[in-house]
Amino acid sequence: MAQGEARAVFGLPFAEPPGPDTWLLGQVYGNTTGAFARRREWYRAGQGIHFGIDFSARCGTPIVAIGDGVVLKVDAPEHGSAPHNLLIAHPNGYVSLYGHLLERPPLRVGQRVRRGQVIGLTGDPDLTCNSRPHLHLEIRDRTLGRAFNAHRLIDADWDALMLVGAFGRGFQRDLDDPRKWQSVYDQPDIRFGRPLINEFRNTWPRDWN
Amino acid sequence: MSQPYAFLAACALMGFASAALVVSNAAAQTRPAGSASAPRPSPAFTQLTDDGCCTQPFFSADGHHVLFLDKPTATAPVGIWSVAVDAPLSPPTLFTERLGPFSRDLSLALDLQNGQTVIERLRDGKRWTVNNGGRPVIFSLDSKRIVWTVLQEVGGFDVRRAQIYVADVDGRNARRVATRFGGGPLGWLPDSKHLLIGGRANHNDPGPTLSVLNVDTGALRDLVAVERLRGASISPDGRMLAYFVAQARDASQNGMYLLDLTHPSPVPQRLNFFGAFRWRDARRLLYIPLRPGAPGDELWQLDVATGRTERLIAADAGSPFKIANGDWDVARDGSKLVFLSARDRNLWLVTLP
Repeated sequence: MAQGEARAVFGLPFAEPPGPDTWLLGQVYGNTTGAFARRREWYRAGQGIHFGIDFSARCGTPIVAIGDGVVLKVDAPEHGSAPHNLLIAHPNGYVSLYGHLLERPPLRVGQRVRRGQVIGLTGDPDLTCNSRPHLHLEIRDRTLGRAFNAHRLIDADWDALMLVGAFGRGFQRDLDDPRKWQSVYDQPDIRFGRPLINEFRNTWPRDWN
Repeated sequence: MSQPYAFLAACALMGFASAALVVSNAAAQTRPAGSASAPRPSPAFTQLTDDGCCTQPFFSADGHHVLFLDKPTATAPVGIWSVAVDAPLSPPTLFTERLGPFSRDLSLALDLQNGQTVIERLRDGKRWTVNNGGRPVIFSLDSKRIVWTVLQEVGGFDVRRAQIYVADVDGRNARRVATRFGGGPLGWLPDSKHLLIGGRANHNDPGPTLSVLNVDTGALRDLVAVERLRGASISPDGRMLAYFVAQARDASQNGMYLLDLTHPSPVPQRLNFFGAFRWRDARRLLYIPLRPGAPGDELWQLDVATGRTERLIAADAGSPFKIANGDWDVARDGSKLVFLSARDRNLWLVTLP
């Protein structure tokens, strides 16, 4: 599953098409300016980048499995994305993680799920449903120690989705190599617990207070 | 882990008009669809760059150049590089080694040095520090004023306190002009005396309100209560606001809107499309309908005075008009559009009909 071999083998986590009534792309995967600003706090575990994709959606929006699989974990706080999360192991070796769910998903470990099956409801990490309700979706390897650029693994028109509603759509620049990681498709995979990969000597936007 | 306010601030810094604001609702009028004219042939596209160099392009103030942050070779300086719109595929030239953000007229550049906010006047290199704790500022359109926000570090994004400060561009005469919860400044109006701000006036208010603040007198004019307002974009003449509402608790409020900022009690006018948008000029709003999976993007134009819509660029699988990264900009005179093409990751130019 090297990065260069990635194929879009999964679907989107919503059955409905995007739009103002359903969902919109929030924060993309990768070295976003928003994640950079929180690289030493929220995103330290993921080497300083946003290691999933955020989809903005009202609390209670049904989420579907992005592929066939088996429920691996239900409510596993050690993997983040409170208050509730769900991990599904897929036969191709990937694991999908659905975070910030509204409630504990009504699934049990070992239960088979089908692509497109409703597996949970979107929630809000701030627990109010008024602050920043969204789904945080990650794709990891079977060890759960590595997160992949999910845009390369989900079959979607990311270019169209990035036109509207994306929070923090820009990517942080390493001014020694400002072309690096400037597309949603070339964002690096990460390994949890390893050092930050974006402590740039010189960067833009600046590291504002 | 979305950060709505961080996005708002980033957009303002980058010169984007887009912004996120969690703000309650008001009755809306649905704008008649208007008459869509017969489609005209898509205009010609001109490739400006050829080495996949450039993201986040923007036009120079005179519209003669497209600018972008780059370091084209290992030995070249990092800076804002330029390609002339009338010399496509020519080697980019260095515009400035300052990276911005810049004032609208590109006369001033903002920077952070040793934790301090620094403004530089590009014509003579004069620099000065703004004593605001190393926070980014937004220049007024006449480059004479700045605004910044001191944001509460904790709490829900819908109620997080934002203290709004204004100063002269040299940093003097700094004062707090407003406090909002779950919001902040959305942009200067063209007179550089008024700010469009959003959020709750009080922490316990039921919802956010959009308001215009006179920073000289402190006079505040509430416009409308809007829940989950996003993408706020002020027209070049400051008379209209385009925005959208998404995922509101009252789903009937979701959609795209125009708001007359000059009206004493403006009523949001709902538009019958949804997508990305930029102002072409004071009267015309360009928009790209959200159509995932379509072979290419379409560019439409709304005449806000008549409600008439017109398709300027048709979707065509063979054309470069498939925008990547959300990167597109419109020249200040409304004559041209530049975009990063998803087909080849190059910048392309189109002269708008």
